[in-house]
Amino acid sequence: MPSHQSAQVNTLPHPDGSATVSSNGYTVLCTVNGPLEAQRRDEQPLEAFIEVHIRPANGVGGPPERSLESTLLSFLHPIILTPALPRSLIQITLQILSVPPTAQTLRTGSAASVARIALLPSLAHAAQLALLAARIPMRTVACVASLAVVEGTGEVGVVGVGETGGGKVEAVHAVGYSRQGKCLLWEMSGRGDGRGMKAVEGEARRRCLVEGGKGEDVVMGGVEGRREDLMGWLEGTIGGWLKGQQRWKGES
Amino acid sequence: MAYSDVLLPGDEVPQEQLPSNPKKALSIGPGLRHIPPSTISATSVGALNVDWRRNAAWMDVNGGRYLPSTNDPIIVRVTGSSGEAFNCQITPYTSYAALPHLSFQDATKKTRPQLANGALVYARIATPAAHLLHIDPELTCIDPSTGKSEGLGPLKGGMLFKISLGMARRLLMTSKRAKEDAKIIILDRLGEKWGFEVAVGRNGYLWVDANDIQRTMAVGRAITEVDEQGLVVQEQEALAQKVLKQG
Repeated sequence: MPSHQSAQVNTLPHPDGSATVSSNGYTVLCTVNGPLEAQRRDEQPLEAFIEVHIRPANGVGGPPERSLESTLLSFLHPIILTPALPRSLIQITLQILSVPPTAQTLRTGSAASVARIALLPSLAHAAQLALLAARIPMRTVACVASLAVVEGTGEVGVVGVGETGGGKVEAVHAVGYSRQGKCLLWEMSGRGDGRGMKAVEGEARRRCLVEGGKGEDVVMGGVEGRREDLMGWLEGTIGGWLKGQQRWKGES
Repeated sequence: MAYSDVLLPGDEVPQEQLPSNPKKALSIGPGLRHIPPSTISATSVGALNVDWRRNAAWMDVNGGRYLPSTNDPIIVRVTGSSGEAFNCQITPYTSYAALPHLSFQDATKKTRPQLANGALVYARIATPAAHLLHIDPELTCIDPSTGKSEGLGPLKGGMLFKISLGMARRLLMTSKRAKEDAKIIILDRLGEKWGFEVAVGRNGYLWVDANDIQRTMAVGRAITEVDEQGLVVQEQEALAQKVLKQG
Protein backbone atom coordinates (compact mmCIF):
# COMPACT_ATOMS: atom_id res chain seq x y z
CA MET A 1 0.00 0.00 0.00
CA PRO A 2 2.69 2.60 0.73
CA SER A 3 3.62 2.57 -2.94
CA HIS A 4 0.29 4.28 -3.67
CA GLN A 5 1.07 7.18 -1.42
CA SER A 6 3.54 9.93 -0.93
CA ALA A 7 3.89 12.76 1.55
CA GLN A 8 5.98 15.84 2.09
CA VAL A 9 6.25 17.92 5.25
CA ASN A 10 6.61 21.71 5.37
CA THR A 11 5.81 22.29 1.72
CA LEU A 12 4.93 25.97 2.27
CA PRO A 13 7.21 28.59 3.84
CA HIS A 14 4.73 30.87 5.62
CA PRO A 15 2.27 28.80 7.68
CA ASP A 16 3.40 27.40 11.03
CA GLY A 17 3.13 23.89 9.62
CA SER A 18 2.14 22.35 6.29
CA ALA A 19 2.10 19.00 4.53
CA THR A 20 1.10 17.52 1.18
CA VAL A 21 -0.20 13.96 1.01
CA SER A 22 -1.26 11.87 -1.98
CA SER A 23 -3.18 8.64 -1.63
CA ASN A 24 -6.09 6.86 -3.33
CA GLY A 25 -5.52 9.20 -6.29
CA TYR A 26 -6.24 12.32 -4.22
CA THR A 27 -3.69 15.00 -3.37
CA VAL A 28 -4.33 17.18 -0.34
CA LEU A 29 -2.38 20.19 0.94
CA CYS A 30 -2.85 21.03 4.60
CA THR A 31 -1.70 24.11 6.47
CA VAL A 32 -1.86 24.60 10.21
CA ASN A 33 -1.59 27.90 12.02
CA GLY A 34 -1.63 28.16 15.75
CA PRO A 35 -1.89 28.88 18.54
CA LEU A 36 -3.56 32.11 17.41
CA GLU A 37 -5.82 34.56 19.18
CA ALA A 38 -9.35 33.13 19.09
CA GLN A 39 -12.38 35.28 18.46
CA ARG A 40 -14.29 36.13 21.62
CA ARG A 41 -17.24 33.90 20.76
CA ASP A 42 -15.01 30.92 19.89
CA GLU A 43 -12.64 31.26 22.82
CA GLN A 44 -12.78 28.41 25.32
CA PRO A 45 -11.37 28.97 28.80
CA LEU A 46 -9.79 25.57 29.31
CA GLU A 47 -8.81 24.32 25.89
CA ALA A 48 -7.91 25.34 22.37
CA PHE A 49 -10.59 25.90 19.77
CA ILE A 50 -10.00 23.93 16.57
CA GLU A 51 -11.19 25.17 13.22
CA VAL A 52 -11.16 22.88 10.17
CA HIS A 53 -11.67 24.22 6.64
CA ILE A 54 -11.81 22.00 3.59
CA ARG A 55 -11.67 23.50 0.12
CA PRO A 56 -12.59 21.33 -2.87
CA ALA A 57 -10.38 20.93 -5.94
CA ASN A 58 -12.63 23.26 -7.91
CA GLY A 59 -15.47 25.58 -7.02
CA VAL A 60 -16.40 26.60 -3.51
CA GLY A 61 -17.14 24.28 -0.62
CA GLY A 62 -20.67 23.18 0.14
CA PRO A 63 -22.53 20.72 2.38
CA PRO A 64 -20.26 17.75 1.43
CA GLU A 65 -17.20 19.70 2.60
CA ARG A 66 -18.97 20.86 5.79
CA SER A 67 -19.81 17.24 6.58
CA LEU A 68 -16.22 16.13 5.97
CA GLU A 69 -15.01 18.98 8.17
CA SER A 70 -17.11 17.84 11.10
CA THR A 71 -15.96 14.22 10.66
CA LEU A 72 -12.33 15.30 10.54
CA LEU A 73 -12.77 17.60 13.52
CA SER A 74 -14.18 14.82 15.67
CA PHE A 75 -11.23 12.63 14.59
CA LEU A 76 -8.61 15.31 15.34
CA HIS A 77 -10.05 16.67 18.59
CA PRO A 78 -8.98 13.73 20.79
CA ILE A 79 -5.59 13.63 19.03
CA ILE A 80 -4.68 17.26 19.73
CA LEU A 81 -3.74 18.05 23.32
CA THR A 82 -6.16 20.98 23.48
CA PRO A 83 -5.85 21.72 27.23
CA ALA A 84 -2.18 22.64 26.65
CA LEU A 85 -3.20 25.74 24.68
CA PRO A 86 -6.19 27.32 26.44
CA ARG A 87 -8.05 30.33 24.95
CA SER A 88 -6.29 29.93 21.62
CA LEU A 89 -7.27 28.95 18.12
CA ILE A 90 -5.74 26.22 15.97
CA GLN A 91 -6.63 26.73 12.35
CA ILE A 92 -6.42 23.74 10.01
CA THR A 93 -7.00 24.39 6.32
CA LEU A 94 -7.08 21.59 3.76
CA GLN A 95 -7.03 22.27 0.06
CA ILE A 96 -7.78 19.33 -2.22
CA LEU A 97 -5.30 19.77 -5.05
CA SER A 98 -6.30 16.92 -7.34
CA VAL A 99 -8.89 14.17 -7.50
CA PRO A 100 -8.84 10.96 -9.58
CA PRO A 101 -10.53 11.41 -12.99
CA THR A 102 -13.40 9.10 -12.05
CA ALA A 103 -14.35 11.25 -9.07
CA GLN A 104 -14.63 14.51 -11.03
CA THR A 105 -18.40 14.44 -11.37
CA LEU A 106 -19.27 12.71 -8.15
CA ARG A 107 -21.04 15.40 -6.19
CA THR A 108 -24.23 13.50 -5.38
CA GLY A 109 -25.53 10.00 -4.87
CA SER A 110 -23.76 6.89 -3.61
CA ALA A 111 -20.67 7.56 -5.73
CA ALA A 112 -20.16 10.77 -3.73
CA SER A 113 -20.14 8.87 -0.46
CA VAL A 114 -17.53 6.49 -1.87
CA ALA A 115 -15.42 9.50 -2.86
CA ARG A 116 -15.86 10.91 0.64
CA ILE A 117 -14.52 7.71 2.23
CA ALA A 118 -11.65 7.48 -0.29
CA LEU A 119 -10.62 11.05 0.55
CA LEU A 120 -10.54 10.64 4.33
CA PRO A 121 -7.06 9.00 4.62
CA SER A 122 -5.37 11.83 2.68
CA LEU A 123 -7.16 14.46 4.79
CA ALA A 124 -6.35 12.74 8.09
CA HIS A 125 -2.69 12.11 7.28
CA ALA A 126 -2.08 15.59 5.82
CA ALA A 127 -3.69 17.26 8.85
CA GLN A 128 -1.62 15.25 11.33
CA LEU A 129 1.68 15.81 9.51
CA ALA A 130 0.98 19.55 9.34
CA LEU A 131 0.07 19.59 13.05
CA LEU A 132 3.35 17.84 13.86
CA ALA A 133 5.25 20.35 11.71
CA ALA A 134 3.50 23.22 13.52
CA ARG A 135 4.58 21.64 16.82
CA ILE A 136 1.07 21.58 18.18
CA PRO A 137 1.12 19.28 21.24
CA MET A 138 -0.60 15.98 20.47
CA ARG A 139 -1.74 12.95 22.42
CA THR A 140 -1.02 10.41 19.71
CA VAL A 141 -0.76 9.83 15.97
CA ALA A 142 -3.31 7.79 14.05
CA CYS A 143 -3.54 6.17 10.61
CA VAL A 144 -6.65 5.89 8.46
CA ALA A 145 -7.30 3.14 5.90
CA SER A 146 -10.20 3.20 3.47
CA LEU A 147 -11.59 -0.21 2.59
CA ALA A 148 -14.28 -1.61 0.33
CA VAL A 149 -16.31 -4.79 0.89
CA VAL A 150 -17.21 -6.74 -2.25
CA GLU A 151 -20.82 -7.87 -2.57
CA GLY A 152 -21.35 -11.63 -2.30
CA THR A 153 -17.80 -12.72 -1.49
CA GLY A 154 -17.34 -10.36 1.47
CA GLU A 155 -13.76 -9.79 0.33
CA VAL A 156 -12.11 -6.64 1.69
CA GLY A 157 -9.85 -4.41 -0.45
CA VAL A 158 -8.63 -0.86 -0.75
CA VAL A 159 -11.02 1.73 -2.13
CA GLY A 160 -10.29 3.01 -5.58
CA VAL A 161 -7.07 1.10 -6.25
CA GLY A 162 -8.67 -1.80 -8.09
CA GLU A 163 -7.75 -4.34 -5.44
CA THR A 164 -11.36 -5.46 -5.20
CA GLY A 165 -11.02 -7.08 -8.60
CA GLY A 166 -13.85 -5.14 -10.22
CA GLY A 167 -16.61 -6.79 -8.17
CA LYS A 168 -19.67 -4.85 -7.08
CA VAL A 169 -18.99 -2.98 -3.87
CA GLU A 170 -21.36 -3.54 -1.00
CA ALA A 171 -19.97 -1.01 1.46
CA VAL A 172 -17.00 1.30 1.97
CA HIS A 173 -15.34 2.06 5.28
CA ALA A 174 -12.70 4.52 6.52
CA VAL A 175 -11.18 3.22 9.73
CA GLY A 176 -8.53 4.96 11.80
CA TYR A 177 -6.29 3.48 14.49
CA SER A 178 -4.00 5.33 16.86
CA ARG A 179 -0.43 4.24 17.44
CA GLN A 180 -1.57 2.61 20.65
CA GLY A 181 -4.11 0.53 18.72
CA LYS A 182 -7.27 2.45 19.65
CA CYS A 183 -9.98 2.97 17.05
CA LEU A 184 -10.51 6.72 16.59
CA LEU A 185 -12.52 6.83 13.37
CA TRP A 186 -15.04 4.61 11.65
CA GLU A 187 -17.02 6.08 8.79
CA MET A 188 -19.01 3.82 6.53
CA SER A 189 -21.35 4.00 3.63
CA GLY A 190 -23.47 1.19 2.17
CA ARG A 191 -24.84 -2.00 3.69
CA GLY A 192 -23.02 -4.11 6.21
CA ASP A 193 -23.52 -6.80 8.83
CA GLY A 194 -21.58 -7.80 11.92
CA ARG A 195 -19.46 -10.38 10.08
CA GLY A 196 -18.47 -7.87 7.38
CA MET A 197 -17.55 -5.30 10.01
CA LYS A 198 -15.36 -7.86 11.78
CA ALA A 199 -13.48 -8.57 8.55
CA VAL A 200 -13.06 -4.84 7.91
CA GLU A 201 -11.77 -4.28 11.44
CA GLY A 202 -9.10 -6.97 11.09
CA GLU A 203 -8.00 -5.76 7.66
CA ALA A 204 -7.94 -2.08 8.73
CA ARG A 205 -5.88 -2.88 11.80
CA ARG A 206 -3.44 -4.87 9.69
CA ARG A 207 -3.10 -2.07 7.15
CA CYS A 208 -2.73 0.64 9.79
CA LEU A 209 -0.32 -1.00 12.20
CA VAL A 210 1.02 -4.34 11.13
CA GLU A 211 3.36 -4.53 14.09
CA GLY A 212 0.83 -3.34 16.60
CA GLY A 213 2.45 0.01 17.23
CA LYS A 214 6.13 0.70 17.62
CA GLY A 215 8.68 -0.54 15.13
CA GLU A 216 12.03 -1.05 16.79
CA ASP A 217 14.64 -1.94 14.20
CA VAL A 218 13.64 0.23 11.31
CA VAL A 219 16.26 2.66 10.07
CA MET A 220 14.62 6.05 9.63
CA GLY A 221 14.28 7.47 6.16
CA GLY A 222 16.18 4.50 4.74
CA VAL A 223 14.95 1.72 2.52
CA GLU A 224 16.22 -0.90 4.94
CA GLY A 225 13.54 -2.83 6.79
CA ARG A 226 10.74 -0.88 5.17
CA ARG A 227 7.41 -1.61 6.78
CA GLU A 228 4.36 -2.08 4.65
CA ASP A 229 1.78 -0.65 7.05
CA LEU A 230 0.52 2.92 7.12
CA MET A 231 2.10 3.72 10.49
CA GLY A 232 5.47 2.59 9.13
CA TRP A 233 4.98 4.83 6.13
CA LEU A 234 4.04 7.78 8.35
CA GLU A 235 7.08 7.19 10.57
CA GLY A 236 9.33 7.04 7.50
CA THR A 237 7.93 10.34 6.23
CA ILE A 238 8.47 12.01 9.60
CA GLY A 239 11.95 10.50 9.85
CA GLY A 240 12.96 11.88 6.46
CA TRP A 241 11.73 15.32 7.43
CA LEU A 242 13.52 15.29 10.80
CA LYS A 243 16.72 14.15 9.13
CA GLY A 244 16.58 17.21 6.86
CA GLN A 245 16.07 19.44 9.89
CA GLN A 246 19.07 17.95 11.67
CA ARG A 247 21.39 18.26 8.68
CA TRP A 248 23.45 21.08 10.24
CA LYS A 249 24.63 18.73 12.96
CA GLY A 250 26.63 16.91 10.29
CA GLU A 251 26.15 13.51 11.92
CA SER A 252 24.91 11.45 9.00
CA MET B 1 19.62 8.26 13.27
CA ALA B 2 18.20 4.98 14.49
CA TYR B 3 14.46 4.90 14.78
CA SER B 4 14.48 4.13 18.48
CA ASP B 5 15.94 7.62 19.15
CA VAL B 6 12.89 9.35 17.77
CA LEU B 7 9.67 9.67 19.72
CA LEU B 8 6.22 10.29 18.31
CA PRO B 9 3.29 11.81 20.21
CA GLY B 10 1.91 9.33 22.72
CA ASP B 11 5.12 7.32 23.02
CA GLU B 12 6.18 6.74 26.59
CA VAL B 13 9.75 7.62 27.48
CA PRO B 14 11.33 4.51 29.02
CA GLN B 15 12.21 5.09 32.68
CA GLU B 16 15.84 4.03 32.14
CA GLN B 17 16.37 6.77 29.52
CA LEU B 18 15.38 9.51 31.95
CA PRO B 19 17.91 11.03 34.35
CA SER B 20 17.31 9.98 37.92
CA ASN B 21 19.01 12.37 40.31
CA PRO B 22 17.53 11.64 43.74
CA LYS B 23 18.30 15.14 45.03
CA LYS B 24 16.56 17.15 42.33
CA ALA B 25 13.09 17.07 40.85
CA LEU B 26 13.03 15.98 37.22
CA SER B 27 12.40 18.95 34.92
CA ILE B 28 10.81 18.29 31.57
CA GLY B 29 11.05 20.67 28.66
CA PRO B 30 9.30 21.14 25.32
CA GLY B 31 7.76 18.11 23.63
CA LEU B 32 7.20 16.09 26.81
CA ARG B 33 4.40 15.89 29.34
CA HIS B 34 3.91 14.24 32.67
CA ILE B 35 0.93 11.95 33.17
CA PRO B 36 0.56 11.25 36.90
CA PRO B 37 1.79 9.27 38.68
CA SER B 38 5.03 8.56 36.84
CA THR B 39 4.61 8.41 33.07
CA ILE B 40 6.53 10.80 30.84
CA SER B 41 5.19 10.79 27.31
CA ALA B 42 5.98 12.70 24.14
CA THR B 43 3.64 15.32 22.66
CA SER B 44 5.67 16.07 19.54
CA VAL B 45 8.14 14.35 17.22
CA GLY B 46 11.87 14.44 17.74
CA ALA B 47 14.84 12.98 19.52
CA LEU B 48 15.02 12.85 23.29
CA ASN B 49 17.71 14.94 24.99
CA VAL B 50 18.75 14.49 28.60
CA ASP B 51 21.04 16.37 30.95
CA TRP B 52 21.97 14.10 33.85
CA ARG B 53 23.63 16.88 35.83
CA ARG B 54 20.63 19.20 35.75
CA ASN B 55 18.20 16.27 35.93
CA ALA B 56 16.37 17.52 32.85
CA ALA B 57 14.81 15.96 29.75
CA TRP B 58 13.47 17.68 26.66
CA MET B 59 12.92 17.14 22.95
CA ASP B 60 14.72 18.69 20.01
CA VAL B 61 12.02 20.89 18.60
CA ASN B 62 12.36 23.19 15.63
CA GLY B 63 9.56 24.91 13.83
CA GLY B 64 6.05 25.91 14.73
CA ARG B 65 5.01 29.15 16.31
CA TYR B 66 6.94 30.94 19.02
CA LEU B 67 5.39 30.70 22.48
CA PRO B 68 6.48 33.48 24.86
CA SER B 69 8.49 32.50 27.89
CA THR B 70 10.11 34.70 30.55
CA ASN B 71 13.43 36.39 29.77
CA ASP B 72 13.51 35.48 26.08
CA PRO B 73 15.01 38.24 23.93
CA ILE B 74 12.63 38.93 21.05
CA ILE B 75 12.21 41.39 18.20
CA VAL B 76 8.76 42.97 18.18
CA ARG B 77 6.94 45.36 15.92
CA VAL B 78 5.10 48.33 17.43
CA THR B 79 1.52 48.45 16.19
CA GLY B 80 0.17 51.29 18.32
CA SER B 81 0.36 53.06 21.62
CA SER B 82 -2.10 53.31 24.47
CA GLY B 83 -2.02 55.48 27.61
CA GLU B 84 1.18 54.17 29.06
CA ALA B 85 2.43 51.33 26.88
CA PHE B 86 3.21 50.47 23.28
CA ASN B 87 1.21 47.62 21.78
CA CYS B 88 3.63 45.19 20.20
CA GLN B 89 3.27 42.13 18.05
CA ILE B 90 5.41 39.11 18.90
CA THR B 91 4.03 36.77 16.21
CA PRO B 92 1.31 37.51 13.63
CA TYR B 93 -2.33 37.02 14.63
CA THR B 94 -1.71 36.65 18.34
CA SER B 95 -2.75 39.04 21.07
CA TYR B 96 -0.64 42.14 21.66
CA ALA B 97 2.19 42.37 24.15
CA ALA B 98 2.48 45.54 26.22
CA LEU B 99 5.79 47.44 26.30
CA PRO B 100 5.43 50.19 28.95
CA HIS B 101 6.67 53.63 27.85
CA LEU B 102 8.87 53.82 30.92
CA SER B 103 10.58 50.45 30.51
CA PHE B 104 13.44 51.89 28.42
CA GLN B 105 16.78 52.91 29.88
CA ASP B 106 16.65 56.43 31.42
CA ALA B 107 13.11 56.95 30.19
CA THR B 108 10.95 59.48 31.98
CA LYS B 109 7.55 60.77 31.01
CA LYS B 110 9.30 63.51 29.01
CA THR B 111 12.20 61.59 27.52
CA ARG B 112 10.46 58.33 26.60
CA PRO B 113 11.17 57.13 23.05
CA GLN B 114 8.63 58.12 20.43
CA LEU B 115 8.02 54.98 18.38
CA ALA B 116 5.94 55.14 15.22
CA ASN B 117 3.77 52.23 14.05
CA GLY B 118 5.95 49.58 12.46
CA ALA B 119 9.05 50.45 14.50
CA LEU B 120 11.13 47.49 15.64
CA VAL B 121 12.18 46.99 19.24
CA TYR B 122 14.58 44.47 20.72
CA ALA B 123 12.96 43.57 24.03
CA ARG B 124 12.85 40.91 26.70
CA ILE B 125 9.74 39.16 27.97
CA ALA B 126 9.05 40.31 31.53
CA THR B 127 5.92 38.25 32.13
CA PRO B 128 4.50 35.77 29.61
CA ALA B 129 0.77 35.50 29.00
CA ALA B 130 -1.27 34.13 31.88
CA HIS B 131 -4.16 32.61 29.98
CA LEU B 132 -6.49 31.92 32.85
CA LEU B 133 -6.19 35.50 34.12
CA HIS B 134 -6.64 36.97 30.63
CA ILE B 135 -3.28 38.72 30.87
CA ASP B 136 -1.29 39.44 27.73
CA PRO B 137 2.52 39.24 27.80
CA GLU B 138 4.50 42.21 29.08
CA LEU B 139 7.86 43.28 27.67
CA THR B 140 10.74 45.35 28.95
CA CYS B 141 13.93 46.89 27.56
CA ILE B 142 15.70 47.11 30.93
CA ASP B 143 17.71 44.45 32.67
CA PRO B 144 16.16 44.37 36.16
CA SER B 145 19.49 43.53 37.85
CA THR B 146 21.45 46.50 36.46
CA GLY B 147 18.77 48.97 35.41
CA LYS B 148 20.64 49.35 32.10
CA SER B 149 19.42 48.47 28.63
CA GLU B 150 22.11 45.78 28.02
CA GLY B 151 21.68 46.01 24.27
CA LEU B 152 17.89 46.13 24.30
CA GLY B 153 15.93 49.02 22.84
CA PRO B 154 14.57 50.41 19.58
CA LEU B 155 16.26 49.03 16.44
CA LYS B 156 17.01 51.86 14.01
CA GLY B 157 17.88 51.28 10.36
CA GLY B 158 18.97 47.82 9.24
CA MET B 159 16.76 45.04 7.91
CA LEU B 160 14.67 42.26 9.37
CA PHE B 161 15.00 38.63 8.23
CA LYS B 162 12.90 35.64 9.18
CA ILE B 163 14.73 32.60 10.55
CA SER B 164 13.57 29.33 12.07
CA LEU B 165 13.09 29.12 15.83
CA GLY B 166 15.86 26.52 16.06
CA MET B 167 18.27 28.83 14.22
CA ALA B 168 17.40 31.69 16.59
CA ARG B 169 18.15 29.43 19.53
CA ARG B 170 21.47 28.37 18.00
CA LEU B 171 22.49 31.96 17.28
CA LEU B 172 21.76 32.93 20.89
CA MET B 173 24.06 30.28 22.37
CA THR B 174 26.93 32.37 23.67
CA SER B 175 28.84 30.29 26.21
CA LYS B 176 31.94 28.66 24.73
CA ARG B 177 30.69 25.09 25.06
CA ALA B 178 27.21 25.83 23.77
CA LYS B 179 28.71 27.69 20.83
CA GLU B 180 30.54 24.55 19.75
CA ASP B 181 27.25 22.64 19.81
CA ALA B 182 25.48 25.36 17.84
CA LYS B 183 27.89 24.88 14.90
CA ILE B 184 27.54 28.40 13.53
CA ILE B 185 30.70 30.07 12.32
CA ILE B 186 29.30 32.24 9.55
CA LEU B 187 28.86 35.30 11.83
CA ASP B 188 32.42 35.05 13.15
CA ARG B 189 33.89 34.67 9.66
CA LEU B 190 31.95 37.62 8.24
CA GLY B 191 32.66 39.65 11.39
CA GLU B 192 36.41 39.24 10.92
CA LYS B 193 36.29 41.35 7.76
CA TRP B 194 33.14 43.48 8.05
CA GLY B 195 31.65 45.55 10.84
CA PHE B 196 27.93 44.99 11.41
CA GLU B 197 25.36 44.68 14.16
CA VAL B 198 22.91 41.82 14.58
CA ALA B 199 20.03 41.24 16.96
CA VAL B 200 18.49 37.80 17.27
CA GLY B 201 14.91 37.40 18.48
CA ARG B 202 13.79 34.07 19.90
CA ASN B 203 10.52 34.61 18.04
CA GLY B 204 12.32 33.78 14.79
CA TYR B 205 13.60 37.16 13.64
CA LEU B 206 17.06 38.38 12.79
CA TRP B 207 17.89 42.06 12.47
CA VAL B 208 21.07 43.10 10.66
CA ASP B 209 22.62 46.53 10.19
CA ALA B 210 25.96 47.02 8.42
CA ASN B 211 25.49 50.74 7.60
CA ASP B 212 25.49 49.69 3.97
CA ILE B 213 22.46 48.12 2.34
CA GLN B 214 24.45 45.72 0.18
CA ARG B 215 26.39 44.30 3.12
CA THR B 216 23.28 44.19 5.30
CA MET B 217 21.56 42.11 2.64
CA ALA B 218 24.61 39.89 2.16
CA VAL B 219 24.87 39.08 5.89
CA GLY B 220 21.13 38.49 6.30
CA ARG B 221 20.92 36.28 3.25
CA ALA B 222 23.97 34.27 4.25
CA ILE B 223 22.42 33.48 7.63
CA THR B 224 19.02 32.59 6.16
CA GLU B 225 20.81 30.31 3.70
CA VAL B 226 22.66 28.55 6.52
CA ASP B 227 19.28 28.12 8.23
CA GLU B 228 17.20 26.94 5.28
CA GLN B 229 19.75 24.52 3.84
CA GLY B 230 21.13 23.34 7.19
CA LEU B 231 24.73 24.06 6.15
CA VAL B 232 27.45 22.29 8.12
CA VAL B 233 30.60 24.09 9.33
CA GLN B 234 32.70 23.49 6.19
CA GLU B 235 29.89 24.67 3.93
CA GLN B 236 29.48 27.80 6.05
CA GLU B 237 33.21 28.45 5.63
CA ALA B 238 32.85 28.25 1.85
CA LEU B 239 29.75 30.46 1.90
CA ALA B 240 31.53 33.09 4.00
CA GLN B 241 34.44 33.15 1.50
CA LYS B 242 31.99 33.57 -1.37
CA VAL B 243 30.01 36.35 0.34
CA LEU B 244 33.15 38.28 1.35
CA LYS B 245 34.54 38.01 -2.19
CA GLN B 246 31.37 39.39 -3.74
CA GLY B 247 30.83 42.20 -1.26
